[in-house]
Amino acid sequence: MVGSKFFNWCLYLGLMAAIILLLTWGKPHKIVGLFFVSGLAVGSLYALGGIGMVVLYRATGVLNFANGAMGAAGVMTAWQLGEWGVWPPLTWLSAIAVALVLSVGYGRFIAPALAWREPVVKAVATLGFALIILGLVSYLWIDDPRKFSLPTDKIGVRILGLRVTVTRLIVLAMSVGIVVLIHQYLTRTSIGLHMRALANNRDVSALIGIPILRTETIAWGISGVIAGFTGLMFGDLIRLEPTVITFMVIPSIAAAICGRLESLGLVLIGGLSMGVIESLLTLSPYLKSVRPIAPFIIAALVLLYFQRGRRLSFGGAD
Amino acid sequence: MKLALTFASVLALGAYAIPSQAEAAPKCGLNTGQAATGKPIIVGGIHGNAAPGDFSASTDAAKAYFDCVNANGGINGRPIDYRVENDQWNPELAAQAASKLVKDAGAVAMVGNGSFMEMAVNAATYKQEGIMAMASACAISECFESSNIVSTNQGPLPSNLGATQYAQEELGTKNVGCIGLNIPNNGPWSCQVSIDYMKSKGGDGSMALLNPSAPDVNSALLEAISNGADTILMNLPAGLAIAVLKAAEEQGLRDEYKWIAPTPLYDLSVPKALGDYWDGHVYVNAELAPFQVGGPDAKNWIEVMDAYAKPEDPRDTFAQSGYLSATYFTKAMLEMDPADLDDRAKVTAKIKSIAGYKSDLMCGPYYVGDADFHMPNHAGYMLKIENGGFTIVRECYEFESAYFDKHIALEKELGLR
Amino acid sequence: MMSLRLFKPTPSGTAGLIFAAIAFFVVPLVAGGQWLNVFTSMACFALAATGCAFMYARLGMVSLTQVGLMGVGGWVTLRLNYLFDLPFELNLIAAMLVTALFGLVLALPALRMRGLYLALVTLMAAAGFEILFATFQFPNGGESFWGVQTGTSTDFRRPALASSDAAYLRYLVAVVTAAFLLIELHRRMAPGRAWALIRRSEAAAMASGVNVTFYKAWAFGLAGLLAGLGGGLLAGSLGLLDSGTFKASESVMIFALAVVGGAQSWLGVMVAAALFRVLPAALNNVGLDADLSFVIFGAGLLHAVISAPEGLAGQFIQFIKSVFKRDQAAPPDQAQDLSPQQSAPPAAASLPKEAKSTNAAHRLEIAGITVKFGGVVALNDVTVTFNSPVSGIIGPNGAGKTTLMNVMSGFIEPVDGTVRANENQLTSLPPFQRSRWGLRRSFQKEEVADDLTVSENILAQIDPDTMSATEKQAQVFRALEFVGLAHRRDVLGKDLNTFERRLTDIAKCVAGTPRLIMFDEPAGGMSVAETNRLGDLILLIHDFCGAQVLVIDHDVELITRICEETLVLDFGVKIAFGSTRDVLADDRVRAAYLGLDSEATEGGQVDAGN
Repeated sequence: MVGSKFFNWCLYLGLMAAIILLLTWGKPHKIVGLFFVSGLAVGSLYALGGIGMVVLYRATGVLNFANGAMGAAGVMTAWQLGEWGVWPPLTWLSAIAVALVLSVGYGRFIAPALAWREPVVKAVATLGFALIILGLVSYLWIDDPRKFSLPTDKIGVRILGLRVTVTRLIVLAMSVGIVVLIHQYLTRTSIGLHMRALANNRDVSALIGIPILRTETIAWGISGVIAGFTGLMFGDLIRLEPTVITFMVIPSIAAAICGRLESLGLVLIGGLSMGVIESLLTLSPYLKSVRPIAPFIIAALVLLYFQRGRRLSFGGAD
Repeated sequence: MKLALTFASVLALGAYAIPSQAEAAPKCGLNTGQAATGKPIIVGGIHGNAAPGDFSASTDAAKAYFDCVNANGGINGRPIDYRVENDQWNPELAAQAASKLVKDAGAVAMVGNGSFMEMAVNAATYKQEGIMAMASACAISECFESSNIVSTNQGPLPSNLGATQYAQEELGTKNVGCIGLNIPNNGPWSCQVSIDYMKSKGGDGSMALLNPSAPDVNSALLEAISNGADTILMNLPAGLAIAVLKAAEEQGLRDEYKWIAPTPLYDLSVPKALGDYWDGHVYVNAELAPFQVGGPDAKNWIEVMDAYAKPEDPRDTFAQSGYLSATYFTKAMLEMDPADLDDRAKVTAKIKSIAGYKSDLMCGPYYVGDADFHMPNHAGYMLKIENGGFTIVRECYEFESAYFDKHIALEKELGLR
Repeated sequence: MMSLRLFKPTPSGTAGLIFAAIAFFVVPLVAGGQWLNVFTSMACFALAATGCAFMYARLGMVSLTQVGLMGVGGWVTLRLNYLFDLPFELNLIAAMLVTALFGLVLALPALRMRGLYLALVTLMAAAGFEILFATFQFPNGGESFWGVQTGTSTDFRRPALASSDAAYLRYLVAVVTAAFLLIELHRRMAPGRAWALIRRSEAAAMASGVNVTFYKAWAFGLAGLLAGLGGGLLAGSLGLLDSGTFKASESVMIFALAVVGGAQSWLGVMVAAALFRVLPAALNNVGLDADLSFVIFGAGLLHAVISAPEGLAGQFIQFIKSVFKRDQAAPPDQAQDLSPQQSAPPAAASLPKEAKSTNAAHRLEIAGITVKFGGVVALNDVTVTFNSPVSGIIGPNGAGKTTLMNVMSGFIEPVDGTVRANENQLTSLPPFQRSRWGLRRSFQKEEVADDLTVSENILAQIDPDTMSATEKQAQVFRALEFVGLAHRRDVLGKDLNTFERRLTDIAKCVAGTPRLIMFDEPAGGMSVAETNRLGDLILLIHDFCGAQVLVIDHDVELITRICEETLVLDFGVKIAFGSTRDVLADDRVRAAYLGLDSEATEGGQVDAGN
């Protein structure tokens, strides 16, 4: 099993490298560098969104479509407090706090009602939650040009000829850092052990006395914090528009699919490679206009690859 | 947040309203001071307000002006019943709104329309129903290339051209990269004329089109740069243009390129949103008189807004444009035989006969004419973002393009040149 | 009799037809221009919603691409309109076919997926469509392949029958009604039964002879067809389309609303379409912010998912039923259920007896079967030939009994070895073809589709056979009489008790022309009396239809009673085979299997399943 997993990683990385090589062949290094770094920045956002979703999915079986909406609510709150002149670090914390409260609230009060339903029903339910949040956020903050900035936007370093802000470096570092931290947490702590047990088999976990509610609440909390942070970064780096941030959940899901909804490392690699390929497609005169389609095609192919051996499924087993 | 918005606009109200109310009451229509009590004249208006943009400023201002007219004798004693619908950027809703106003309510004219969607869907309906739409916030080709729509604003094509022309003449631009939305009757349509202009002057130009749903504006910016542009023309709604400038700021591109934009960026909240980095580096074309010009119409507009509009209604170019459309419509109606005011055909004929209405808000004269194209407004101002606001760098100037040949011919025919 | 049944209106169907009549005759007269447009949009999206609703309700598949597929239909309609001077209807039909093809292509990944992964792959497709539409836009009269010109669009031809808005709405009402009838027809015929089995379990569906691949693809194609129809008609109503209408979020929304409305009934689909298009217009009319409709949608979705599995329509129908129940002594549908029973079908005795019962040469040869899961050897070179009418397989948990049965069904591909029955090579056939050949089986869990009646469950098994409809009905009745369930034949699967479900499974196995029937722990979880009754039935099967029978069970007493020969497996290896009495006396068997049995009561059930 370990061998085949390693093979999958290598195959994916090899394919991505081949595509990148194909796209950049014969192009000036300076231009390639610009697009590569730009793609890495977008890709790390996809990955960050995907990581938050996978952490929750593994522990609770819920694929949270409301991930983006919670982040949007958070970053809008941060912007509002900033407008009111609140000390900036406090506004950033407020974004994370809002997402945390929304996430834990859903996990504690609504998710238990669906605990034993199929994964797809749980996912559809979070969609309802996403719509409620999106409706309220768009009602409270009517459409208006807004901008959300972090002080780190002003500081930059030069990489491959492109000035990269510290914010983008933070996103990249955080997405790698979160993967490492969560991995450590899952392997070193008892709650982490419980989460892994839940991910493997809920029924058995309940029987052997794993504190399901507590473990799940912590998972909702962790994913809420990641969603808040992701929302903050989306608002800063993409656009401060609730609808856009809410539906950024779709490319995030594409990144999550690359990790088969379980491997955080693959989510990271998947997200980054999607961003880079999307950006490098600009170099192709034929494909540049459809470049945003790249994450979805990659995700669909990965899904097909993972499912290739499956022939049938028995009732209720997904 | 609604609450915060109200709070902010109370401050704004302080800035605008208190001194102006102390000065004079606004002048509207017959200016009798008597409320009109006769049979209402039904007039419609459609705006688009949903993500990704709010175009309701034009109908808000038109409504304010009509309320003022109704309080001042109306159209010879008859009030205007102004009904506004929102198309939410959705073609189906746009068709529904037009049906509701034109077919169900029997409006005699449409005034103040502002949308990305409505004109494309409803141009045929307006023609079929024989109704004239005096639009105010248009962004797509149908506004300017159909028989029954005339818009007070310019739309992206002339405004882009004006910005490009200024950059070519004053900033030394050789190659312009137009970043537009990938909507055929908006982005490609309006970018092409600027590119053609550059080519006619021995320069060059290219388009980088952006999917409205694409999160990453940076690739479009990089694409424009890799096409060899020395000047970036941001033919985008304000929110997206800000995103482009932010991406440029991150990469420290400000001083290597020149940055120009059409009217959407002329919004008082933009200099603040952009911050100090861009101060003195972004040039914006304005299709109506900037606020600091302050002619009699400009002052009256503010007074009307303060007296009749909601405090949170925006005071921007589109509001000016909506106000202007409403004043022109009122003027035309006052010139008509009162007995004909309920006859849509006669109202339409009257609107089509408008020629030579003047205002200090607009560079040239306003006219309609009986043609399959209408673009009365194709001259403007050039502004620069400076000291947290806008300063005028070029007063009224006409935009040069073969595109305007037929308009100029029509103006000559109407005796306006 | 069959055709009468096929076209018999249900109470809900009658209500639907009345609703359609009102929509056709009255609504266009009273609705103003705005509401004509609103209802037209609603009807177009109702077509798309029908597609995802039936896939969810009948197959349990979540498709999040319906609005994207509508865009495909709209694109084709617009493109053809500007390309040729053909009537609207021809363009529309072409659009439907092309969209159905897109639906089929989408089905390719779906054939291996279910549940969340299927939903995700359709979501990826919807996101892809969104980008394609935003990039290439909708044709407006331009010259190139994409048909887009900058500037103003060219005129669009509406159907000749329906040039006014009111006539167009009537046109749509007729089309939507036809679409609902098409879906209902599917539900009542072989595809509906196949879908119900697939929803229950794909393995069981294959074991019942259902070509799962074909029927899943068919469902996707049908949903695509309906979406294409909706998209083409939307293009017809507006004369142009905008990419903003076909975003992935809209596809997700229409599915969500189908759940809110209730995917099971026509009413639910209409509620969904009304929420999607009428509610925002109504909110707008009263001056409320349209953003609030999202809040209403979201709350409705949570409510539907948590507490109203059949949606708002389901709750409404429940309410109507409860009102009727209070008024009448007997509920109306139960009264109808009794009527067909009175018209007695041909008696079982009058049917020709199966020819095969005289053909006593039974020979099931299993040769050198080896199965590996990863590194684990589940079956190791098992070779055995069953010659008796009823044979047994026993062995401790994990011995490979069910695995062997799955190899015979074709669910598991052996590394090596062959299965031959009566000189027929089975190993190369896919599962559903083995079933059509005459291989039948039950599973450890009863696999009865909840939303089919008992007789429909059995009919699904013999649907692929080339008999006349009347003959099939007679076969079903005969099988039901055999197991003693004839009086329950019109009861829904979900209303049966466990024993009745097991009897239904047996009836399914004996209907038609079975040649080899395999029961996987038929007595698991049954009482002693029920076990005895099952044993009697199994002993009668050979005389009833001539099929050879193979039984796995832990109940040694049952095996001793009914099986002449028995195979004993342990850790994937054959440890004994021969007459049941001899085998049970074998020392190795006693050590490996009966020795473990010390803690269980003698002759009782060792295990209810594994």
